Amino acid sequence: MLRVENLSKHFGGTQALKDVNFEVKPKEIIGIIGPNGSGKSTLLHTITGIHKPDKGSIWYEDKNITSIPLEDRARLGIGRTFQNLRLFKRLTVWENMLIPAIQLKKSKKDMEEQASELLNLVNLTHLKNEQAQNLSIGQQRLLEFIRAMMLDSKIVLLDEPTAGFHPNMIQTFIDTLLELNRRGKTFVIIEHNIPAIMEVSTKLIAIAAGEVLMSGNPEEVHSDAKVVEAYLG
Amino acid sequence: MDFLVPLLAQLTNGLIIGFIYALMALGLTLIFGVLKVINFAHGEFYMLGAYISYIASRMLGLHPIIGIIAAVAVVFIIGMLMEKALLTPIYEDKVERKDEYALLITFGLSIFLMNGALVVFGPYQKSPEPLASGVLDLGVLSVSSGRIYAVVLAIIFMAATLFIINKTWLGTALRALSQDRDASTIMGINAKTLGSIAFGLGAAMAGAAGALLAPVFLVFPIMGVVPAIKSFVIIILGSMGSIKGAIYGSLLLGIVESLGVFFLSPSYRDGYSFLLLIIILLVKPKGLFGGSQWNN
Repeated sequence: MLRVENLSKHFGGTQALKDVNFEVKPKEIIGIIGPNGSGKSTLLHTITGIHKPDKGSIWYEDKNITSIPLEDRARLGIGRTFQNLRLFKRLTVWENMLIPAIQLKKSKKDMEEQASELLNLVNLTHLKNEQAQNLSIGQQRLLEFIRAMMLDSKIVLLDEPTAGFHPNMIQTFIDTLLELNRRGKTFVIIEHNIPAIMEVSTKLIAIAAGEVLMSGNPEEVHSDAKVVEAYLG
Repeated sequence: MDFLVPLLAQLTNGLIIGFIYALMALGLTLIFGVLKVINFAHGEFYMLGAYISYIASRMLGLHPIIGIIAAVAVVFIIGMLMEKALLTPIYEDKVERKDEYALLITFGLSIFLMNGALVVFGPYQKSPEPLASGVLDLGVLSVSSGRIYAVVLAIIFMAATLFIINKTWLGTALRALSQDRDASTIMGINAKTLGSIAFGLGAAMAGAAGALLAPVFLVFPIMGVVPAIKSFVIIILGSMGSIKGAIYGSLLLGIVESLGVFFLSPSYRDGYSFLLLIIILLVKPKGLFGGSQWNN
């Protein structure tokens, strides 16, 4: 579904990504772990088109998308959330949800039904007329997560989706994620919350200094000596 | 008590001019809010609107209202095309310091349009057909019917713009774009096209203001300079990017100018706006609606 081949990116003298390769199959939940500054967010930025890679290519459903604009990648079905929340804070929750509708050819009624269902799934229906800035950080993260679904994305890239969550909310997030996965959505998740990522991932990729250290079964990757060393220094 | 009627007349006049300044300032704030570009050519879109209404009403013999609608439509298209041709390319990744380049481009566009008008229409003042002749009797006051029509149309244009911004999907997308360009794009919004539309809308509002005031202040190539400066004053005193600030700031400016003319001297009419700006910024350095945003 999504394939990254020999992806490299540097900023000045810093090599942020170095020959990164991996593949995501439909309905997988791929977890990406690694210490701070290891290149995880840069990888997502490059896949979604915010950064242009120095080398390598990105393939989505057998189409080379390395050079196409951000908005076209979104319309093809690649959604994402950000490590630093990128909600439209002075729009209401409802308006945030309907933003993607402007570009899609779906009817207003269909879009509104979809938005209502997603808000209900994460218990935010009662806040639909609130400005996004008035929500708690956890609620804002949930909103950003379900907003990404409004693009009818087939694959959604989540950058630290549980950061700032109240412990109770983590379970709401996990339940929603697994429910959407059952409905056919594919996820790539960057996460520092190891118990959460271990619970949901079907495959784990460990990154350090811009390189893939190891990928595979979550248990094996998590307990690998190289990965432990990269995390603990 | 003898001074009350002329004072009232001045205040009414100030409010009328204030509403038309508001139309122009709203256009400037819309462009700044969405594109983060300070449009130095705003006064020239005002001038183009005035010339188009002159051509339609005097040269083609159309009704003045048709002339004003034509001015809005043509300036909208010109604004969109200018944005597409001159500003869109600088939003490519390879261009650094986009805002500075954009500012210089609009400055160059201003000079080009002004001199273009001088070449095409000559330096002499022209007068479009007035919207209406005669005066409207409001009891103690008599107001020119043309000015009443102008202010009513200005309010209609502003209401239509605010409706688009607040109640339509296009407006929601523009407000989203004004808050976060990258996130909007990630959500599938075509930021380049919407940027052109925003610029076209902002320019069209300046064009409408020019067409509405053309019968009052006449039409000539440099007619946009003073209204553009006043628009900058308004959006600074109302707080950069605030719609509410642009509207209230315009009305305040119109009233202060008319009070200055009445109590002090008409010679310094244009100077009162700067005095007001200095006083407001001394008291409220972020402007009247400091912290308020484009979509408020």
